[in-house]
Amino acid sequence: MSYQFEELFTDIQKDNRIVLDEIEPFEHPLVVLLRSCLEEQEYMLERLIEEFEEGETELKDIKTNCSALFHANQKVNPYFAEWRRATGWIGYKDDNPSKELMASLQKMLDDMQDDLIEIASKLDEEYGESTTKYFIPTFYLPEERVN
Amino acid sequence: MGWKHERIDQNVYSQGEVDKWVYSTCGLCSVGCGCYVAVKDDKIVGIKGNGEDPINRGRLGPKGENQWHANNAPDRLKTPMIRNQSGELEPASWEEAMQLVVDKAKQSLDEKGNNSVSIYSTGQGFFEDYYTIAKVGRAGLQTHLLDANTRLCTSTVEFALLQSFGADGTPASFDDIDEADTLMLFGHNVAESGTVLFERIMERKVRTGKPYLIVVDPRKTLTAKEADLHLQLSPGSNLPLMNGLINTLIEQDKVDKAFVEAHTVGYEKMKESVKGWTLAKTSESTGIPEDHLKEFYRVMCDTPSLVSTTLQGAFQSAEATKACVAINNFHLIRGLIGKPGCGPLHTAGQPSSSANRTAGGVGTYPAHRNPTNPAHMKEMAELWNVDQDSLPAGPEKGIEEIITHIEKEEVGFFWNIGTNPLVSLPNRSRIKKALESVFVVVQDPFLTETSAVADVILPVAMWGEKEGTMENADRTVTISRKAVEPPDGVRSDFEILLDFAKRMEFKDRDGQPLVDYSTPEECFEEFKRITKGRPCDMTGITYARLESLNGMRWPVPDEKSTGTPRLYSDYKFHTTVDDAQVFGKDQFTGRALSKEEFREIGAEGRAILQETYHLPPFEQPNDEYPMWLTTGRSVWHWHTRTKTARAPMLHMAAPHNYVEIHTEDARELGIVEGEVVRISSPRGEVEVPARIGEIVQKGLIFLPFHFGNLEKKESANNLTNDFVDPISKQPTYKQSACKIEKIRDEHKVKAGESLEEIASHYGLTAKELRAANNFSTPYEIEMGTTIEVPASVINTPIQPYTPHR
Repeated sequence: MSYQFEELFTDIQKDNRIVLDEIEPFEHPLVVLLRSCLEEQEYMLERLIEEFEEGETELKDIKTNCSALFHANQKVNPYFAEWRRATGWIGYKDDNPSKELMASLQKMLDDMQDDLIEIASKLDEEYGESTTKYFIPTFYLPEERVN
Repeated sequence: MGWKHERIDQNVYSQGEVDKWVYSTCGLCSVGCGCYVAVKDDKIVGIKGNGEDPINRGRLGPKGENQWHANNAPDRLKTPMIRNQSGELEPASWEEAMQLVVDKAKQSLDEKGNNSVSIYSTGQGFFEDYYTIAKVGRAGLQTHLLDANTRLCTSTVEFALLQSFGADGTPASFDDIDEADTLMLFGHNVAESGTVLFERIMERKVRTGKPYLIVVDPRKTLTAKEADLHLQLSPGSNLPLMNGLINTLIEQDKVDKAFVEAHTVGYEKMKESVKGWTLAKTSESTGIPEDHLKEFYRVMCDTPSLVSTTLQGAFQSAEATKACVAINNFHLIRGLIGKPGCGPLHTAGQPSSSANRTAGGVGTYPAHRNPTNPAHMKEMAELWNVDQDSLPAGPEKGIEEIITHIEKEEVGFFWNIGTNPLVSLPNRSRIKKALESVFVVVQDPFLTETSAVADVILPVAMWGEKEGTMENADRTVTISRKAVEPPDGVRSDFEILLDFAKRMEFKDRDGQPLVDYSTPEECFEEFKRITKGRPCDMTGITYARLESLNGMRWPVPDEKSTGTPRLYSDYKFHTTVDDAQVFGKDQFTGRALSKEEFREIGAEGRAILQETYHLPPFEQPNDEYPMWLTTGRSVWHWHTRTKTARAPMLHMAAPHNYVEIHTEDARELGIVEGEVVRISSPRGEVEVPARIGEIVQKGLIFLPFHFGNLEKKESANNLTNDFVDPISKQPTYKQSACKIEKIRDEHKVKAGESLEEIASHYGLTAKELRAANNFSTPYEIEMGTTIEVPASVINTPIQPYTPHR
């Protein structure tokens, strides 16, 4: 199980780094917020990967970082959606990101979210709903048990 | 210290004496004026102020005086309606309508899961409605998607209070305003939004010279005109203003160090976040001249007592929560809280939006319980006698997030109670498209604009036709008695919710009905038990006491208590891990913190001084859209005019929308008074007459948000962007980019035609026509010249309002 978690977190980390690199030139206030959340994700991912690299972990060792990771991701998606809308309104021109870039960023963010949903499902299986619901946001938890 | 004299305002239309006067509370704004409803022949025929109520001593505002007209409006809905297969709304029986509502709710639950059902309610209902929504929503439907139009109104209040003090509940009250040496009205145009409170302020000011009145507003509002110091700041610069003030206080070594040491945490981090906000930088960022700022700093740093109120100019602006938290920070580092005449008083727009927050119909669980704290959730499960695992946990979702879920086809049932989102939500075209794609129940006394997307409409009772309690902007709980029966065919929100719960067969852990109360008073008694021991403890409140004492401010912990005028007089804040209503959010990104992270802050009953790093507004004027757009209220109308448009006097006072444009901008663009202009933004456009003057600053235009007819191009929310505050998720209505365009016809001057003749032909004056064409002399036309003629000019008088007598 540890290996599976490590693999999923590593996948997210790869996408996270690419997105951070891609948005580096942009300074829109929504990108500033997006970047802060992605950097926080980066930090939490590093801690979690380290933890899982060491082998089997206990919930107490990952709970806080997991919570921060999931909740940061819950902010990443709306900030990106808002920035995308803002860019559409300003127009895809000059120094603004291109439509193609936005589409590729969206794909990576969707992949990240899918990986997090998979992780949430595995954590839910392992630790039970009574526990996970207090540190994983509802919408990442398995659909058949959303609370 | 409040009013010196009572004055009974009255507005009754009755032949002969009325049959009875029924005790009530005004249902318009958040001041919560006591009143009596006039009844004759089983009909509401008027209203008068309650002279015994300390809030208003008999006074009523223009909207309050005229609210009863809507009760008797001929277009009241008196039967449910269902959209048929041809797409038309047609009358239906209650049985048919409720069965369809229940079937669709069940279908959505079955097909898409619990979080596919959303209730979007109001700030104009009763505690009893909100508490029932909370119970039905959380324990019955088990959905996470409960929100209300309070998200547009006061969610920033809630989160500013949570971030600083650990729980909701505004620290100061109206009594403190009566005692304050200085009153800062921050984005709070109280003369138009809370008329009676402004009268109360001015009555004392005229009598005693106090308080020193500071008004922070980008417009020269009726409130600003009475200010000792009006800070007419640039749009989006609320936080820079406060950061500059706090930095100055620190640099002048005027921080109350003993208070900070004993009762707060986070000082050094907070100090670091305001570092560098010098006078020059603050002046540049806010557009306020340095000498005005110096006066502001002098007064604020030295005043012995201070109340700071906030409203939508703070809540609906960029950095809403941070700006309100900065106000909290200022009060804390000056030690101006928990004492007479001191404290932040983050107010509200609607009459009971605070009640919805307290009751748990929106945001957190009832009575300020923390949805991320297992201990609080265990308590809730025990109080409701349900399985703890069935209760949704974690931070709330705001309406803009719910719209996103709808767009992703994850929501199958959207229940809209007492609000009109097709007029009130930003970026209307997006909202309309989203709501057209989901099953929508609209619960309202009238066919509002939102009816256009309704699949079922449930007609409801209005103020005066039902009984229940509300909470105003200063924590006062009030009661409104039922004066008349609602029209035949109409039910109260409360009755509908109870019927829904019964039909859905919601049960507790023992198989008994989840909702087992049947009257509002029984419901309130249950809610009271839920509040015991919590910050909003209402144990000592009864319906009878509310009437005899003319309301009480929570907490009211026992039958001897008459309420609590101000919070935190013991300097004990709700920031212990066990007590906190939430575990807070990251002050910059809004990311929810965990229990462990909250514990690390180490507040343990002390207030939290938060960082307030500045970030510019998400949308700003640019080459294509060079103007700022801000939206707001008029004194004559309430929200989307569902009620006020049906009061003849209010409708006549302001019958249609308009745009305020600064004189210099109008001159540069050649726009004349009353000329219908096109205002557009990347989201849409409106065509409204111009009111030219100096209420707005140059580069800024203002549109009231009340008007939203779908057939007309008049809705401010055709234009607004739908960005939200990172922490409170409140939309930032106050800062969008837009442009102004003239709508002109052309006239080719014929031989012998004079400017006067041409103007007269188009119903204009020669002066207007000259201005429209930027002619500086009367001699600039000659045969063959093409001149521009405004396509439409509408006289747009707004009835003047005297904000105090």
